[in-house]
Amino acid sequence: MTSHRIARSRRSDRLEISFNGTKVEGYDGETVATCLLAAGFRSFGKGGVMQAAGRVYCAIGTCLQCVVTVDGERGTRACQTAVRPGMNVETDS
Amino acid sequence: MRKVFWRNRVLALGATAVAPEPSARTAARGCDDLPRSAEVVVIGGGVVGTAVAHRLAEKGIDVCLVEKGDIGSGTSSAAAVAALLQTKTSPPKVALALESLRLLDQMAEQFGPQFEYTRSGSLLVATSDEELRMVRSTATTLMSLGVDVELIGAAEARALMPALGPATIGASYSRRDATINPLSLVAAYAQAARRAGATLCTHTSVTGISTARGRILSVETTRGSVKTDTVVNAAGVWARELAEMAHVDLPIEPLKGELLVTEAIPPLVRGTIISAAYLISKTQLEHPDTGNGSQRSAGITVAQVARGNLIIGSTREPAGYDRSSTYGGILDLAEQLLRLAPSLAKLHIIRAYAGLRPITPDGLPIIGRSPGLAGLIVASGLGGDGLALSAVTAKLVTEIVAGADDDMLAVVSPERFVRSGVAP
Amino acid sequence: MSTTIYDVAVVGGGPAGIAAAAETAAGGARVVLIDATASLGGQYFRPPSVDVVHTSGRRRRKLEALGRWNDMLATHGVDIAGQTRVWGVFRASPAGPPASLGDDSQSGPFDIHCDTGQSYRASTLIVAPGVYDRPVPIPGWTLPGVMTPGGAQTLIDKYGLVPGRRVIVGGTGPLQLAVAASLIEAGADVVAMVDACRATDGLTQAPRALWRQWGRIGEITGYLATVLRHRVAVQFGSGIFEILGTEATGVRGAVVGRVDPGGFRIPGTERVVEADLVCHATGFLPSVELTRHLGCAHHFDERISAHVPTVDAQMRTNIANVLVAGDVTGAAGQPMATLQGRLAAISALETLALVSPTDADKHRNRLRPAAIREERFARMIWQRWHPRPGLMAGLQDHTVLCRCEDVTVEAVREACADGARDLYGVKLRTRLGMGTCQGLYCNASGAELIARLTDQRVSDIPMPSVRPPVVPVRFSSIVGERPERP
Repeated sequence: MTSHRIARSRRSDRLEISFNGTKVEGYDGETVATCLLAAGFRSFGKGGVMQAAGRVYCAIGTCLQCVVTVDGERGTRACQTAVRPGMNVETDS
Repeated sequence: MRKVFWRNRVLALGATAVAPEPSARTAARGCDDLPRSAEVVVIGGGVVGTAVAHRLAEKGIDVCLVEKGDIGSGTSSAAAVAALLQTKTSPPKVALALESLRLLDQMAEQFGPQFEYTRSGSLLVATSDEELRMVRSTATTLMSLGVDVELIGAAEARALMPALGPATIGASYSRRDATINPLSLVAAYAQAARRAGATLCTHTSVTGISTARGRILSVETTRGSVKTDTVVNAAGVWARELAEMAHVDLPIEPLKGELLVTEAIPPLVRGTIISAAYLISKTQLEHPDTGNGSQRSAGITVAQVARGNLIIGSTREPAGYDRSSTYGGILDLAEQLLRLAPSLAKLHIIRAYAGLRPITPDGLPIIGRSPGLAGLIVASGLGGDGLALSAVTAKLVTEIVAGADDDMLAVVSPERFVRSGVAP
Repeated sequence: MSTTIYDVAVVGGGPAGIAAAAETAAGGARVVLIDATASLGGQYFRPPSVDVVHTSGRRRRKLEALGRWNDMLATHGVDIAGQTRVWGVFRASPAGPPASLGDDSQSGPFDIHCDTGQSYRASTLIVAPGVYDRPVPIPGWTLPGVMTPGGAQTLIDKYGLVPGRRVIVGGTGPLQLAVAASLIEAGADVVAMVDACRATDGLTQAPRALWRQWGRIGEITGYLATVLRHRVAVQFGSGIFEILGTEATGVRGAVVGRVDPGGFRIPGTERVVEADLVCHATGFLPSVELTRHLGCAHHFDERISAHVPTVDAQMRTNIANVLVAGDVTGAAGQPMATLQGRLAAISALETLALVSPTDADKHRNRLRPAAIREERFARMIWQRWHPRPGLMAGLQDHTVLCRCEDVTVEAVREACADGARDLYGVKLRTRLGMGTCQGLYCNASGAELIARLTDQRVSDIPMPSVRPPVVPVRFSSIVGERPERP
């Protein structure tokens, strides 16, 4: 796994979200982007012109490359969306 | 010196970062040298000007087009994406539109695949009994004029346009309306015009039109003078200002229209959705003597471009030459969209823009020789129908230049304003 | 419509915005602070969202300082609208519907519309939107595993996540060293730190620029120590030419080589470095979408090679009641940003007659020595780390310029051959800048490329028009808008 959580952090409140049907681990305070990265997903999309790129590039919510569909709402910045238990994340169609 | 330093470095590294010379024969919109003279000078490089230049050049006429900015940088770049039959509010307009789309069909074959043009139809949607009555009467009229329109119920409307929500109670479906990418149309006209021998001079402003004894002598521009006796005024919302240079009055006013662009989504809307309110406001504002007042009125059209963005337009606001996007305009369009298609509530608007329609007192284009200055042919006042009527406008202008007759010329003639005394 | 009218709305919760909000409120004004993130601090403080243990004393002290600012905001009753982005500002008109900003006849308060579906009304605006990492389009820059250095820093500081194991930090800029140090402290292996500047660039100004800048000297020394201790290969006068990998594998490494003082590649110096994360940027771009939408005048700042809003010494712009502060005015760093936030606060209070002109000048004068120091520091920084023109050379035809719409260098080249001379002309012929980010990540590099192709100066390429919405906004946020009520 290229991306990983720093060992030196006390994580509390483990939770689970789902990404394209796969269960992904997360912790309270993290974002969709960091959970996906930690789970090994560096690409959240299909890539190419007609489909969402799905990358974490700027991580500050400006580049809009990381947008995913969260609980049915498309175009949501993964890097700015705090994870909640049971959140359903999908690649933007 | 610094520039030379950079260029030498670039060449030394073998990177091909320096632009090759623009080829006059293949470039769609590059800038040619201004000729000393031309048979016809077309002023305005939007959808009308390029269509006219193309058609004249194909007839073997020596045409020079002059445009103050980039090709298509005026109203044509701020348009919606439809060429509609259902919104044509009078028999002459319908006839013009039918002929224009027929010509575009022919040109689509010539222009090739980059020309984004499909006869994808339009749905005129009613959300109230009053609107339904209007939709029915419009459909009846259109049918009698030869437009392929049929009345359909709410369920069928939603089957055709899944985006529509429960507010839709009925609709009329016009099979032969078209969606066009306006910039690809302008580029196609310009490219074809060049190939046929026209000269396109962009970033060239007209500073005057020299006349003597009722004849045009030349067109003065920021890059020099072009001798000619025939000028086509295709300057859109600046057509009046241009005509004034030759002391000709032209009753053309700007009418602002705001539009919205959404994020790209998978294919959802094929063809154009038109809200009945759009047609109502168009009819009223085009005939201001039927009294609608000067408030902004909306009603919307919704279409989807190839890339996937939805284009929602347009307001109708008398605002002079102001092209800003206003809060009220954005809110109106958003409200209208959610009324028609509530399922799109979570979609993002990524851009708003606005354009200026060149409108006339009676809502019909002005095409013809100017009274008092025969050499100045007007081809303007197309209002919000520039895309739809560009091809037939070019045809009519070509006939005028050739001295040929056409039934359609009477109804669009500039003479009508002299007779009725509407012109200032 | 009954709406709270704030005296001041501050947009941006970084050092400048926090200082402006706190001091304006302390002066007696009614203030709302609008910020895009969940917790204030901007790109400088980056407070953690997870429970990260800080071993670094430097980081701890920073967060303590932020804590003091937050206390001040709370004490003086600043309303904070977090996770909120402004999509449009329009002048409230006394009668009738709100007009557009271009309408000079309107002088009413500002209606600030936000993507949360909330709107705020204020008579004065202080805009402190900051800067963002300036992207460098090179072959492979859109691969998974390529980020901006600030992006990596954000993931580490806020979320305790390291986005890679073998990292190359490249491009150029004053914060590369800090990012490299952070990555190392977080457990990553920084295999190379590549900067286009020369080791000695700007150092002649260092003695004056660093005079009394104890904090900074300490910081820089600390970062250097970390980097050197871990034997990071620090390469000056070097650049990343290409990033290697595929969509499926993500980043595998990069081609690194030497560049001349202009940033142009020196052929024959290339070598491949293996990595799974590349942090690449060249300095910063000011976030000018809102200031341009407001109609503020901008000028081209040669120092950072970007357009910035024009402000006077009191942080006023050409638009009445619009003040601008912070990095957006020229990326001069945090102490200057805080200082400018304070100056903006003074001006706002003066306009509101909450401070007399005499007292206002007294406050301003007290800040002058620091302002001069910070200006000297900024001059050195940008002397050393200014964007190099050579970064736009050696682009390959298939290199993507506009990420949102997949517009390549080749398409821009063809557009210029077809007569385009500026971004608008390129837009008429391609889809550059028409995607969701509306040009934020391609306008600057697009302008550089167009300038080279058409033999113009970058400063002469006008920025394309900015229209509302300046950030994407859902229909439901506009139609279901809730104006802030008292």
